[in-house]
Amino acid sequence: MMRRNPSGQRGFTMIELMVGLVISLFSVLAMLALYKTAANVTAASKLGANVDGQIAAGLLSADRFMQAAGYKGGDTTATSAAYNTDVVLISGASLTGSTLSGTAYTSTPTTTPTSGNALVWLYNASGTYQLQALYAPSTGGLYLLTASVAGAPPTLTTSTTWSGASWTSQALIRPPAVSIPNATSAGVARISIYSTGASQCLPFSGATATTGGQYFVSLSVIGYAGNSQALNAVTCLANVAS
Amino acid sequence: MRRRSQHKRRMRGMSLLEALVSVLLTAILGLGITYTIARASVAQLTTSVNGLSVAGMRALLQKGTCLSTGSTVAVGTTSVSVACTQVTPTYTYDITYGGEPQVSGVSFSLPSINTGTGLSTYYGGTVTINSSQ
Repeated sequence: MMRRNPSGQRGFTMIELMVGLVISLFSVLAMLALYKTAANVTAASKLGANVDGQIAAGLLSADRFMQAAGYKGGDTTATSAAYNTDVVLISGASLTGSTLSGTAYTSTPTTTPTSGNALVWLYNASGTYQLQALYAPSTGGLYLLTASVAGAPPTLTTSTTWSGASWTSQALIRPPAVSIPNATSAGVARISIYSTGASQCLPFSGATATTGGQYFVSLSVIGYAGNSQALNAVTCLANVAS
Repeated sequence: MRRRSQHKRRMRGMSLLEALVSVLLTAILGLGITYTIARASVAQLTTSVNGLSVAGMRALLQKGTCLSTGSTVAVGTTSVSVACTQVTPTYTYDITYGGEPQVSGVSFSLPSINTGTGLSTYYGGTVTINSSQ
């Protein structure tokens, strides 16, 4: 015999409630999946935008620093700067503590780019020579290294000039703190040097100059935007003649 | 008797119509969220495309070959043809060192580079790097 509710209220049956619960469950699951995707995309975009911003700013800073390479305004007796003595490309470079090690590329660069992961140069702006370097570790990032140097005038042909120096490091581009999905190489940089050939270069295509630099340095850093596209920056070493 | 039937009508639970209205409201909310996410994605795409193009054009300017040969800039898998033009005025510089003139009256001009109509949907126009500005 059916039991009647004395107040006449019917409400939902247990079956109706359960069906409702199952439908809500699916709807909640779908919303959670959407939220997960949106959160992942947002997190990756945030990391990517950070590394892209650092690359844009870092490449500009590196360009400014490299323009000092071979400048000897502080040494009135200096001869013009040259590859090997004032600028040298290092391959397989690594910085352990304050010591930079690696193999110097001692041949004269040709018009075909030669790649490495550090570039060391000398400059003298106010009477004393300084060592500077760009260092791109294989784990990513781009660092500006500075060191003081002895010798009057010092030369990078003697490899202990740079390998025996005590370097301090400053980050121009920091690699992302965590690996970005689908862009695991973001922040990895490479340094190349090549000759301008018969002509000479000036910063930003300044034309009709009689004298200029003999070498271009190309920095290539893998970014996040454009599906891990490499961003390039080219700098004319205007003070390095041959 | 009358009181009892009124009470019965009041306690009927939700009708199908009410459920449908709530579904409709939820759908409108979902559409709003989707639209916001889509707008954010498009804004991010525009920023990325602009950033990649400016970096590419800056590298071309430094390289110094775009005036003579023209070139393209890679944006993802797309290549955008960029045009270089020589900008007037011509600049002149002097260099003095320790009060002694070293170089005087060297004149030069700088190029300008722009993306023309390539990818203008993403740029919202033309991206130009102009040294005279």
